[in-house]
Amino acid sequence: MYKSMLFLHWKQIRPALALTVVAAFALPLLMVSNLGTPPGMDAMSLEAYRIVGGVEEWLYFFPLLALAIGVTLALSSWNWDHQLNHVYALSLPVTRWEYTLQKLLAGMTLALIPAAGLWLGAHLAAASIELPEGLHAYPNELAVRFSFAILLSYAVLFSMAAGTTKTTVKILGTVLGLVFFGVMANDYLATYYPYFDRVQIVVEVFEWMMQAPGPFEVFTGNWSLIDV
Amino acid sequence: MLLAIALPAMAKPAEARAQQRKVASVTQEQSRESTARMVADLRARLDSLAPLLNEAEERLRQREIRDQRAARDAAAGIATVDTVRVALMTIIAPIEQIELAEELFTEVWTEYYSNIEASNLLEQTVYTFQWSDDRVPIHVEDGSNHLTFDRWMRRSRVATGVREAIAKTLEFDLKSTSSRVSYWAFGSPYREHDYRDTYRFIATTRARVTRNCLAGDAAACGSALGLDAPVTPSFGLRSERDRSPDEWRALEEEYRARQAESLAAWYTPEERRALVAGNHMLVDLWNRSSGANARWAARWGDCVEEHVTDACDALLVEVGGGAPLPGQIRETVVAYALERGGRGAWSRLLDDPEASPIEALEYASALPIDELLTGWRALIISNRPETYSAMVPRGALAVLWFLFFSFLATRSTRWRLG
Repeated sequence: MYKSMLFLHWKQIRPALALTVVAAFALPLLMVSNLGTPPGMDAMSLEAYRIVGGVEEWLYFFPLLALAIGVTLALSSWNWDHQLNHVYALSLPVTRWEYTLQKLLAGMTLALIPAAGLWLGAHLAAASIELPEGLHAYPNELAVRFSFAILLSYAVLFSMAAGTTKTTVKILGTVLGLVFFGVMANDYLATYYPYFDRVQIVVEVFEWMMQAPGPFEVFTGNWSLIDV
Repeated sequence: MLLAIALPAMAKPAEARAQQRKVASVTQEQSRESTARMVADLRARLDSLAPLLNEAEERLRQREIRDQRAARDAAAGIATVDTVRVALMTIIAPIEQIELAEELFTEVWTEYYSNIEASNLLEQTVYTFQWSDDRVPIHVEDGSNHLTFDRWMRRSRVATGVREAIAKTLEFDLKSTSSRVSYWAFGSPYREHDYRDTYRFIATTRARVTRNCLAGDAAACGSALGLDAPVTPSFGLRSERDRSPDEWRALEEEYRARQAESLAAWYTPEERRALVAGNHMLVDLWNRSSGANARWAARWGDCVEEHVTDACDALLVEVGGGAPLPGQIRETVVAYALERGGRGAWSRLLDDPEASPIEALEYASALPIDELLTGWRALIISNRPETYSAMVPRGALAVLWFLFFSFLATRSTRWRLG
């Protein structure tokens, strides 16, 4: 059944997946496109420092791309089920959790494809420039981090999409409502309690989620292909 | 016959005069046109300044209104602002925010500046503080530092702003002494330093002496920082400026000789060649290899193409090639010295403007320079960026959260038909 799930998902998403593979492969190459030492010139210390600075401009694109790939895979995995009101799934002689698990594994398998694309692109990018002394390339580590980021974003959206559409809307609405009204409530309480003047609850929660041990820690931190 | 000869001769001047009159009229016409264009151009420029003038007048008018309002309130006994003293600083804030201002400044002072016993500029500076969307007019004479923050800003951001303002004041305090250490490490030792960035800079600097510094040689760290570098005569202290031209010439020659020695200590011959090859000003000289630049262009060719090290040194001395680690890195050494020196370190640092950077740092930190540099190096090494060193624990955390969300997916709300 896993193979069927994989084939169905692949059939549905292959054009979009091809685009993500191209994007993942090209991003490291774009990052290093203006870096390195021109032919005939010796590498300068200032150039080395500029390389690190130049790479930093591209750091935000990697987690964003991973998020986009994860979201695309997750939503597309349940697309047909939602359209057909889960009739096919309910008619199968398997438990719901088995069906969900196999679908999850199929999506995980497809997530490896853009990750492999990034791995290839990162190695090619690292090999294409001559790094000055003191700098190192980390293509394998970048690809591993990218994979984790895709899988995590995939799992989050997959779990939301696994329920009914109403459930997804409720969850998203609750999160947005908490953010919006949380900020307003914080400001209101700050006029009476000095504690809320010092602490922004919504911001604190957000920061906890984005740093260890929060769930989205993998998206933050260093995404450099090239560093000391 | 005479008339036959004279008439043409008489006609010529007439023709010439007519021609001259014609040329003069044309020239006058051109001159009038040129003047008219110039006048029009000037008028256009003056007209373009009018909006700026209007804006400046409006701002002045608004300020006068605010000052008059403040004066009326003060005369009527309506106090809208209050003053508080925190450590060496005087802070003026709206009445409803004075406690908050005191709390913030006290927090920042206690955390970052508690070791400062005295500072002339801090005592002279008045800080106005407002963390609000409704601004109260606060008019202070010269020497004030206005800190205004929008209400939506977080407290940590406001505290950072306060910290930066105090650091800036201390930076001016240091510069005002015109001490050697202030020239050596221009900038503020009290501003927030990202030591990971410092490590990156040192690690990527292509110089023999920085590699030795990272490898553990404290003396190499001092050399890379330019602690023993010769001081240029033109940046010398005021007491040294009253010298004769011959004395200045001798100082310049001595400086150049010592600078060449320092370059040899800092960089290998290949690195010096690379510095020349990558220096845009020198490359420009090479491209414009004519006239006065011919000599320098020839030296550039000797250095880059013929690999003559002396030519490279001459060029680097000419463009002022300094120690590998610049002022932004030297600030961190001063910051570390102040931290190690504890209470009164700031006063000790500013105590003797004539002291060399080594003497000033030793006096401020109460440590020998080798020990100070060893500690500073250890601090920088400990702040090496964790590029991917924590991948295993972070990966494990990601896997755990993945399993958690996968579990939620298998336990989500039931599907229903219809």
